[in-house]
Amino acid sequence: MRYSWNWLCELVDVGSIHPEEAADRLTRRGLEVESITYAGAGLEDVVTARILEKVRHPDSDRLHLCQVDDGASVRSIVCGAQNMKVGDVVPLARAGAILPGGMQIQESTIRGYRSMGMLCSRQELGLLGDDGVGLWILGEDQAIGVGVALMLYRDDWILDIASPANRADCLSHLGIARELASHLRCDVALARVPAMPTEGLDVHVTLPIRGCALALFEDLSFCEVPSWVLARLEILGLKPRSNIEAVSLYVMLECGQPLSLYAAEDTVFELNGVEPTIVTDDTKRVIAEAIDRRIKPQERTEAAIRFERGTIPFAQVWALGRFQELVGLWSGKHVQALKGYVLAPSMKREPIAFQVATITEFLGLKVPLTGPVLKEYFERLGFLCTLEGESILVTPPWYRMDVTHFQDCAEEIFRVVGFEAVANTLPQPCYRHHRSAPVIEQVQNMMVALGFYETCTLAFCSHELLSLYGVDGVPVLNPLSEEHAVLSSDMVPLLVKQLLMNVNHHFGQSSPQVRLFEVRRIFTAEGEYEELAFVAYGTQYADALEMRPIDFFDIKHVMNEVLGLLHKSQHYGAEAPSYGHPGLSATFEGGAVGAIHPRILKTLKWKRVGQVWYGRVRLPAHVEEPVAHFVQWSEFPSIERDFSFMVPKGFVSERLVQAALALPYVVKCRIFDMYQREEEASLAVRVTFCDQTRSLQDKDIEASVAQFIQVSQSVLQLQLRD
Amino acid sequence: MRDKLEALGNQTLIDIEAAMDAAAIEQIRLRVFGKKGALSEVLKGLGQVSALERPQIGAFANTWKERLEEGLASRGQICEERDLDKRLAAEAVDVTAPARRLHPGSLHILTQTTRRIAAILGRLGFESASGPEIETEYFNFEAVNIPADHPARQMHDTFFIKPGHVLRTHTSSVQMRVLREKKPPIRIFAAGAVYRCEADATHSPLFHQIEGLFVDKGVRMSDLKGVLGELLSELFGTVKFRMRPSYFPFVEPGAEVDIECFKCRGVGHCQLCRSSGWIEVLGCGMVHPFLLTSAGVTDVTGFALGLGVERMAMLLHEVNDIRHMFQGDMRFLQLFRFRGY
Ligand SMILES: [Zn+2]
Repeated sequence: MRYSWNWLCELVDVGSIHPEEAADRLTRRGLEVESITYAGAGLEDVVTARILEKVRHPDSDRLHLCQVDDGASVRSIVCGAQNMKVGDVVPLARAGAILPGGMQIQESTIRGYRSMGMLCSRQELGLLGDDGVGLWILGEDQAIGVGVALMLYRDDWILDIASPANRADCLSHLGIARELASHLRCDVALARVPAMPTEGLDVHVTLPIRGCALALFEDLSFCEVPSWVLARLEILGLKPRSNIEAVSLYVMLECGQPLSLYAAEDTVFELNGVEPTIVTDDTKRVIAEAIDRRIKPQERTEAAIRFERGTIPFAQVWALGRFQELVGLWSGKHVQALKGYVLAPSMKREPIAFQVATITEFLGLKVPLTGPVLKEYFERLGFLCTLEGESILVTPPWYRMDVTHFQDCAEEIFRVVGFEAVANTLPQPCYRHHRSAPVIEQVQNMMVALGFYETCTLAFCSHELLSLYGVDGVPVLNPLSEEHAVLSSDMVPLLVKQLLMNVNHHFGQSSPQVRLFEVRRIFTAEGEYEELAFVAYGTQYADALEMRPIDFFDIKHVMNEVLGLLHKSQHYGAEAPSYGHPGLSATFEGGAVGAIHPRILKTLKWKRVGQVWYGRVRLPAHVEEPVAHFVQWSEFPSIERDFSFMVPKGFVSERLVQAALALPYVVKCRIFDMYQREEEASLAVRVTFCDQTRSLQDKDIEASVAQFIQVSQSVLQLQLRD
Repeated sequence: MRDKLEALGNQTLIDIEAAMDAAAIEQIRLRVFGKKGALSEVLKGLGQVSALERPQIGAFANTWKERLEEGLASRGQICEERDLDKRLAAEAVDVTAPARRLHPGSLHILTQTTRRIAAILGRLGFESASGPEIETEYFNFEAVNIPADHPARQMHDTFFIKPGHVLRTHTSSVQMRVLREKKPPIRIFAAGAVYRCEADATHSPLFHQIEGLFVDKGVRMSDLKGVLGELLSELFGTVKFRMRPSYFPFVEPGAEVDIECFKCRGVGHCQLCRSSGWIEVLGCGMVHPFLLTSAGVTDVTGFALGLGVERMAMLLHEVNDIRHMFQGDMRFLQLFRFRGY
């Protein structure tokens, strides 16, 4: 919110401090001054000057040579305007001036004659009106050597202050002035306003409000509010439609209480929030109304901002009194409200009691504050304060609704003494048993080691995208857009989107490598879970420097590493999730891994060859680290036997491995070759036999071998190759 | 006999000298000393030699045997060295060629930043805590002193999921859950995603916060200042900071923390701090008594601090647009590959 420095200076005697310095002090007190700007920016070197002499330039039809007096010296100016005469006072931009439009004024020589500045039009000074007429003639009576900024009431600084949301009192010049006054140890002017009738109006209140004050005026029509008032409102961003509105706005900026003006028909009045009839300067009977309420605004007007924060109770009567006073002052006649109405809660504030020492203890101050010092601090803030031995009793002023308990009082003292007065202590050290890195961190580290880049998606996506993947989610009732309509229950669609973006836009024709992963909260109808998801596209090393496309078993390896970390079973089933390639997908308890269905990629306008791989797995909140136990290994040699089978398409090789492992003496069964053709495939396994107690002989394993062949042929329907 | 031995010996010595590798040496050894080797063949004739001559011939044969073995051994050693040199030369590769190993990826700078801060808070005794991201309106607002008509409620542009349930707008909601579940002393931090209904160059509908909470008997504001000092100096190096009184509904007194602008040190025209010389980094304050009493915790005080992870990451890594964080662009992600955490 914008505040006028001149206005603040009228309310409180700031002495010689500069606005920059005041801004710094206010900021340190919690009233953050976001910017300070000079209201007369561009007019700093523009002064009033009288034309003493005007002759035609010998080499030009349009130019004149002028002698002007700016109060300090007489200058020669070459001027192209026609509308001035000797004796006129006009604005002179001296050399060095940078006008509001950015034009830089320099001493120059124009067709052989020196010109020590420029005489200006209104337009050149960034003001409206009189376009094309020529110089801005200020008349003959205007004093010379006066800064134009000052003349226009723009010799002022505008402070843009962000005050805390609980400080309704600070949305006014009076409130900021009070803060400055307490800081500078001086008083605020404008403490008393004339009394106002509180009876006579018949008001029916149907709005939910905390309080209100209304006053009926007759014949308020008056000449004009002073131009400095309008200028001040203008630099603060307000443009009143009438003189009477100007007064009401001025009162609002001064004390923070918005006023509404109604054209009154009679003394019965309905306060129901209906938009009032606009009052003009000719309106005969006017009701001025001030209400106390806090309400979510529909618009961002100055009044709405104040109602949003909540007006200050009891400020309403004061505001109407001030309105009446200013109307009288500026119209030059006696003005008195005829009738009034006041609805106000009790003005009594409860005192807050605490021990003097608690403030020092609670804030951890370097130097303890004594009772008298505290009393002085509170009184400067406008609080009533009584000391009784070691206890203190403070009563906040009526405009400080935000102060209700001890910690609020502590904050006031914190604001006064500043953070430098607070000591620097560290809490007692605390020794705690820290578990090893949480599951999520371990998973993140593992994925990085496996060559994946961690990314962050926004969790939101469109219904359309989810239905393409056959995934559900949790819809948002008030989404930002269609694209943000649902919280996905699966990150894969979002990660694939980022993968496609990387491949499509950023890698041209060269071979793209994209590996992304994310660990985050996902949302399902049953609840929230932490999940890992990853996607991959591209190649990896086949041999030496040779690359080959990533295949299913690379991705399965990644998933196995993660499952191993989680101490979960690495048992996969051949089912595909809704978006998975049916022949290149596997699911397991809590997750899935594989290639994205080509139909989905086609819809997403994927034009490249090769699969887009995905994996996802739900992460437990924590993993019990199992304790491994010692097992005695066999000291005796083992025997290896290789078997090669023809297997039908779709055969699950894990069944063969399981069959082998079920046989006597078999300690290991490893697939070491797979070869796939159109309709059939060959599969070779190496089976290891071993015993704890003796060296096995060929005859010992004959039975197992025979049984293995028998099971593979009759149960698994495989054909043994020679 | 003697001549035969002499001839065999001399020929073998020539062969040994001519041998170029260990295999040739081994071949000579077999040819001469093997079961059916040349030496055995010659010595078969020992039977026909008179008993008188036999010891002399035997000794002569032994001398030759030793000489040949010596010759084989020394030449063998030379051949082995030669073989090794050949092998080493053959096995050499261009060690400057790229490694075959899969290059590691990287952690997102949001994760890196979260871990840095969590590590600092962890050393100060803060333990990790968490709460749901779809939160009840009560825990997100009322429980942390933001009643329905409170102006701060409008400051949080809230996503609604179903009546009474919102996407949490801050991690402060975890504060209240912890206060109700645990007994003081409480020293926790909560890190995670929060959601607000806004999107532009500086706002994202999803972003991340870290919230610290410390509640115990006699916790003072100076303890908060001390913890801030530790946190900020570990993050930004030795840096001046200030606590500026401010307002957050769940703390009282509340403060915003600024660090001195590390770009301009407070002098001159600066985009980072908008020439103010200060950069706002976090919010903090003493826990509002409303939170403590409504959680049924008495006779204690506490402090809370909260910061935006995106903002910290952007400051620490000089990222200019928050949207980079959420686009998954590999060119962005790869930049932070070698940064530690
Ligand atoms: Zn700076």
